[in-house]
Amino acid sequence: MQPEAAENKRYHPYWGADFGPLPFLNPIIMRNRLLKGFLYFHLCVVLLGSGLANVCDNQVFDGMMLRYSSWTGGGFGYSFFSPNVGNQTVVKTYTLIDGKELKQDAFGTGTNILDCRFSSVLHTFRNHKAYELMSRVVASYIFAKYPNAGPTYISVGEYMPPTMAEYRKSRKANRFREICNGTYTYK
Amino acid sequence: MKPVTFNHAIQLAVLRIGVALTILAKIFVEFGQLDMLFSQHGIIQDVLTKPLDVSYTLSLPKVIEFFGIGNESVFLTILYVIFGVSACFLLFGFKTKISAFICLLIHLMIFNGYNLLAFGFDGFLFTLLFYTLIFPVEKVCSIDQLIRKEKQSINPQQLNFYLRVLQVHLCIVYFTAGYSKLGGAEWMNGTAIWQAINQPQFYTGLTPFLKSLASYSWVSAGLTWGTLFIELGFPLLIWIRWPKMQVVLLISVLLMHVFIGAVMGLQMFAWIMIVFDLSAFGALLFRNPNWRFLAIFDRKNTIYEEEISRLNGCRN
Repeated sequence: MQPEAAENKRYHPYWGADFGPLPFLNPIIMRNRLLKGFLYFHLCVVLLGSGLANVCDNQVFDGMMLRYSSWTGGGFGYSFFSPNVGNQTVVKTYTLIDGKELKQDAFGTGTNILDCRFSSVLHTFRNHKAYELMSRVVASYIFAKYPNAGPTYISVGEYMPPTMAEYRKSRKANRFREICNGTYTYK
Repeated sequence: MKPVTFNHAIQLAVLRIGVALTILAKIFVEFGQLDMLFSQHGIIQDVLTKPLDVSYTLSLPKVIEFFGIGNESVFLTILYVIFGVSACFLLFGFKTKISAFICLLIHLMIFNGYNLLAFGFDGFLFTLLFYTLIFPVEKVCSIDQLIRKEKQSINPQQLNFYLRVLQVHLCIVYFTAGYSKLGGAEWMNGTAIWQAINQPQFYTGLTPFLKSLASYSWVSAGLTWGTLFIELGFPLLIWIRWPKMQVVLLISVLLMHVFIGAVMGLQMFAWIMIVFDLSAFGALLFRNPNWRFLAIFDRKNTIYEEEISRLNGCRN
């Protein structure tokens, strides 16, 4: 027998190795079938979880999808920058150090990995309560960063881009619109 | 006989190597700030993680609590060192399955524990790590294959199926991304790219130049609608057996990700998507491969290649 033919004979036309008269009982074939079935199921979950179609608003269904995605990474939504890009939320802090020096910091501007990831948190919830909670988180970070910090003023806001015409005319910068603010002290 | 190619099997190597490099880049970027990112004293504390914690997932805070680990900083450092060593093993294909499993487990724990800090890149890394674990990536361009006494080859039908799974998943990703934008006013009136490049988090050295270009409405509209066309068109048109168009489509999505990486500073996201694209459809770019180069890897599997070419009608 030609080497090529010998090699080809090792494979069943559908499931891989062909070892005998009952190929479906072969463990390799059964494993391949199971894997194939699982991958078909996986793709179905990917499709359902993608958010392409709103299949049902059922909590049980959502719970199952979350369970599956938390172990396999399949079933996440893929709707980036949609339906609109929106404005970017940024947290600005103004901290008085030793009662004489004013330090300014900004969070959510993407300057490093920590900032990028913090920006992700800021954009997860867009409501006043969440902004207040994030302000407290930022305040605790500021007080750890500056041990001599006095009161810190925290401002959560959005950067509004200029119109294209305004930018062409005067290179106008983005405008900061405050949404939520608060003053925090360490006790 | 028609000359053989090794393109399709190499796509599995692209998946393994690409994922390993992504993990190494992630470790390099995050290693200095592990405490701030992933400890209970970091930027996301109990007050935020506890209410979102669910019982059925394996997560980093749960593991720390279960084992009663006091020094989170040392634990995180050791965990990331293990993560890095496993990624190096995965890169070279040494003990591939175990390495892939360890990488997936660590990434899964971090992802589930600090879901609030995750962005798109983490989700795609999770997905591709899962595929790396279940696909036979150790059989291509790996140390495992070199040191194994009996060479293992990949069944063409199975290889074809694995690649099809990657391709269908990628098409779902792009189509969902495009379809979900259709109702948005900014995407429809052509200002979405202008809005995106004006966000401070996406500021790079190229931003001023791009802003001066995109401030002309037709440029911004072209980029916006071009993105929409690629995201909606790619998953539909890539299946049409017209080789030149397939190559153009693949290069278009690759360029879109290069643009995202270079102009918007999302290098990690761009990289993982390029890995996904190439591991799913990379063979499209190598219709006339360098035979001598491919022969280095292709010692035993050559006879299957013609069959693969026939099966993957949309690619070869």
